[in-house]
Formats: sequence, structure tokens, C-alpha cells
Amino acid sequence: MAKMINRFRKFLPTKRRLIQLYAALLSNAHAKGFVSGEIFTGTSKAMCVPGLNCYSCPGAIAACPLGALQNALASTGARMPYYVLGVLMLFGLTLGRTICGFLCPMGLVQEMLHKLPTPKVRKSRLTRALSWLKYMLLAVFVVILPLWHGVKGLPLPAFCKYICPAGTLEGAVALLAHPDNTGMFSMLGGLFTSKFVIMIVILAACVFAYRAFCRFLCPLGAIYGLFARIAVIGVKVEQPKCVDCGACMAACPMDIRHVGDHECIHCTACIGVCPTNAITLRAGRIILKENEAVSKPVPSVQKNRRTLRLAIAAAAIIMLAGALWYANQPAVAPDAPDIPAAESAIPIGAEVGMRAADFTVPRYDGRVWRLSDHRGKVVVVNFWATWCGPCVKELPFFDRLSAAYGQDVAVVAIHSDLVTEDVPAWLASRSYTLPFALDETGDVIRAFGGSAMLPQTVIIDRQGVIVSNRVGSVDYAALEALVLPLLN
Amino acid sequence: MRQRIARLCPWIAGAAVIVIAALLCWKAVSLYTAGNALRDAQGVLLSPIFTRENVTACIASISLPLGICLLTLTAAAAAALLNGISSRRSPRRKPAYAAPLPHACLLRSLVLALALALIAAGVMNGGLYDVLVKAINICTECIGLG
Repeated sequence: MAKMINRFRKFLPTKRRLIQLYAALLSNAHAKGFVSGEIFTGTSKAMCVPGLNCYSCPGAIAACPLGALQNALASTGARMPYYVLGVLMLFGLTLGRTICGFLCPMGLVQEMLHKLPTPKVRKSRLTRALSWLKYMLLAVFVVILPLWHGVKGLPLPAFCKYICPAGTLEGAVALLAHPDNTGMFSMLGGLFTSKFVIMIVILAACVFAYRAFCRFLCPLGAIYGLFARIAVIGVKVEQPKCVDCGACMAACPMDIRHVGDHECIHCTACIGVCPTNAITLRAGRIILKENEAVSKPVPSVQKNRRTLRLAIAAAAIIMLAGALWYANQPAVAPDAPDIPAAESAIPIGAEVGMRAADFTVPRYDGRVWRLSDHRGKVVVVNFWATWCGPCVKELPFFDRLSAAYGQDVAVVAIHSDLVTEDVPAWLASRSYTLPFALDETGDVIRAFGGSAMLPQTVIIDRQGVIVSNRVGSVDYAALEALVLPLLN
Repeated sequence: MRQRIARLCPWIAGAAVIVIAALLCWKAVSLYTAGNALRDAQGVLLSPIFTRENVTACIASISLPLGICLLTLTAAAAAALLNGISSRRSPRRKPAYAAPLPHACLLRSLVLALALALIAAGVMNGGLYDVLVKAINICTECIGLG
């Protein structure tokens, strides 16, 4: 009986595991999002969490630092990315890669997968060499590509778009699983297929190799690893006490050369095996964890530590309760738009087959664009924003459509109410001829059933009935295929 | 005999993981290639490549092999855990310590000051608002839509 109890005792969660679970829950406190299928849109999303947690996850209450960095670099032409760089420096300086070991939800997922008892890939010179790959991904996909495309005026978060498994797992799978998001399936294509395959391969690799994504691919770990030598909190070695027995190296699952280097995630696996208590987890000079079997602290010190731990646990629970309360408050329904009385039997609404409600938006050239002024023409309304890469990429198609069929087709590009740069200046640097307008309050896009995803394209026939209302990029051929039948 | 079976369990679990991963990847790619091939003379898609119905049907078509693999994985994992099978430890190796960083405190203070200054500058130049705007809209590229 005692043997069985002892056998199961090793499966109880450690303190580190509990902290990881807590961090994952705190980062994704918007539990309502998994029920409603919508992402959180509160102001806390202006802050970044320290770990890798996609902000398109329905539960996320803050921004992903890696996604925020790429978008900030892609917008360098408009604004220098001071804020995100400052936040990353602060996280790196205070916590370093302790974030990877304790606070990253993706790290937790990888460790849980590695628990499956399969043959494991041991660390070797090959895995050590592979660990440098994440620095190359950081340089190319996180820095160079977003900067390069940003200079050309096309925001591209390259790592998020082409590689990141957290976006696919937390964002795509979580959103697509919800029945209300059936419309998103029509937007899936080659990009989703490749990202899905990459995610499956990475998750499978994590089963066989400890933290395969964290060790070999994660650019955020690469960034925090740069602060390894100056991070305040982390595992430190008192070298006078070290006898070079190598027990720490044997116990460490990461590709370290020494405890606390840029590959160390400060998981504290080495602390328990050090025979001389040379390794401790410290915050500056304060010891957070040591090998108590060797150091044997006096009862008063143990009592103080226990009190401190209880106080920290209480504060953490209060913070989590506060986050859950803040993120899951019932939403205030926006005022219904002022819809005029119907002129025909077809109801007014946002769905295909309904009549589009009339609206007026101010144009950037000083005039006003009104839907009812274009009755009798096919109308194409594109909702876009300068900070949305796919939106910017497809604007030439709408411009071309407007130029080719302007007699019969009225095209308008309406910018989101969320303006981050000087849109008139942005437009002046490009030679578009179609009219651009601004949805000042966001009411227009809401009237067409949208708000949280761009681009959105609405096509209205000559009688004012909506024939297409879709979120996602379109190409010129698809636009013509939708518009030409309406001209006849 | 029992020991031999117990030693095989991790390998069976590993094989089950690989088969599950291969099944999911194969089905995703075949669904995409089948849907992508349905285009008209101008190359425009005749219908969306993925729909909830065809994804559900696809999952249903592999539910039997997937279920068998998951059951095999569960059974093999349970057997391996109950028999206390664990992976071999890495060999001991002498750590290669780097020289201590000179003026570490000064460097930390400088980095802290720079980080706080950058955050303040970012708040003033609208960087905070940029992060908020991107985060409260679904990043279609990040989740593979479009």
C-alpha cells in the first residue's frame, strides 16, 4: 500500500507545475470567450503577457509579446516600436527565461505532451546545434521580414503567419470549434493547411523531445535568452561551492553548457540534485528555492518562508479572481443602428438576401459617401485598415475593379474606426482612384455584422440586396466572379 | 515475458503518436488538395475548400483508426507508467562556466532605465494603442485564415 502511494506521489503536481497552470489560467481568464466563440476586446489587451499566448485565442486577456513585436516592427514606417521593445527588455531583465520555465502556457502544453511515456530523444551535440535555429528564426521571421514588408507598407507578422503553432492551436482550433464560427471555415485554405501540419509535427516532436518548440524554434525564448547573464530572477550557481560533479548537467533536460546560460529555463531540476547546495533559485540576493535536504535551514527561516509563500499564494488567488471577474463581465449591447423603414417586403439586415441599411460615411477627400446615392448600381463595400496586412494587400484589386467597371459598380473602401496612423498621408503615398472613407464610430461595420475581423467585403446588387458578405481576403478573379453576374 | 512487454510499451506508445500525427496531416492535406482542385475555367473556386461539414466528415472517416491509436496509446502509456519504465538519464558532464559579467549591477540599472524610458516613449507616441488595436481584432493571418 505504501509502495503504491509512493508510486502515485510522484504524479502529484509540483509547485512549478501549479505556477504554470496559474499563469495559463491568468493569461486566458476570458473563459466566456470559449463559450461565445468571440475574443476579448477589453483594454487589458494593450498589455503583453510574458509568455507565448496568441491574442486571437478566445480566452486571451492580454497581447502576445511576439505578435506585438512583429506588428510593431511592421509599422516602423509610421511609428517606432518603443513600447514593445521596452516591455520585452523589462521582462528579459526581471525574469529572463524563468518566463519559459514558469509562465509560458505553450511551455506547459509541451511539458504535458512530453509526459507521454514514449522513447525520448536525448540531448546531444545535434540538439545543441539545433537550439541555434531559434535565433535564425528570430532574425529572419520576427525582425527582417516584418521590417522589410513594413517599409513597403504591407504589415506582415511573418512568424505568426507562417510558423507559430500557438496561433493555430489556441486561435484557429479554439475559434473554429465553436458552432457560431462556421463562417470562418470558408476562409481556410493553403495557409491554414500548412500551419495545421506544422502544428501537428511540432506537437508530435514535443512528445519525443523535451520542449522541442521551446528549444529549437521559439523566438521569444531566444529573446529572453539574450538577457540570461543579467536577469534578476533565475537559477544561480555559487561557484566556490561547486565541485564540478556534473549532476546538474545530467539532470537538466535543456541543452545547457552550464546552469543559468541562455538555454536554461530555470526549471530548478538541477537544484535538487546538487550535492553541495551550490545552485539556488534567486531573486537578486533573496533565495526563492534551494536544496533544503543539504542546506537544512533553521526552523525560524522555514517558518518565515512558509508565511511568505502563503502571502504570495493569497495575493495570486486574489489577482486571478480579479482577472476572471474583469474578463467575464456581461457585454453591454451596443445601441441598435437607426434603420429606416423598409420600402419593400425584404427585411433590412446584414445577412445575404437581406436589404442593406442605408449609411453615410465621410470621405477622406472631404465629401460624403451615401449608399442610397448609388441605388441602381452594384455596390462593393470593403472594410479595411492600414494596420491589417491582408487588407492592404487586396486594395489594388478593388481599385482595379472600380477603374474597370466604374459606370456600373460603385466601390468604396471604408477604414475601421481604429485608426493608428495618418490615413490621408498613407493614401497620398499611393495612387488609388477609388473613394476612401472612414467608419468614425464603427457603427457601419457593425450594421453589416462585423467588427473583430478584417478585411470584410460586402457586395450589394442593384436593388440594394446583399448578395455576399464575407470576412477574409479576396482576389480580383473572385471579385469579378461575384460582380459580373450582377451586371447582367 | 511481462518485462519484455513492459519494455515494448513506450515504443508502442511512440508508434501510436506518430500514426495519429500522420493521419491528421494526411487528412488535412488531402482535404485541401481535393477542395482546391474544384475550380472553374477562370480558376475561381467553385466552393469553399473547407466547410464544417466536410471537416466533420473527414474526422468521422478516420475516427476508427484514430480511436484505435488513441486507445493503444492510452493502454501502452498506462502500462509503461505502472511498470515504472522511465527514460535513461543523460551522462554527467563538467559544466563550462563563463567568466562573471563585470559591472553586472550597472548594466542592469542601465537596461532597466532604458526599458522604462522606451515604455514611456511608446505610451506617448501611441505604441500602446497600436498593440491594443491589433490585439482586439482577430489576426486572420496568425490563425491561418485567408
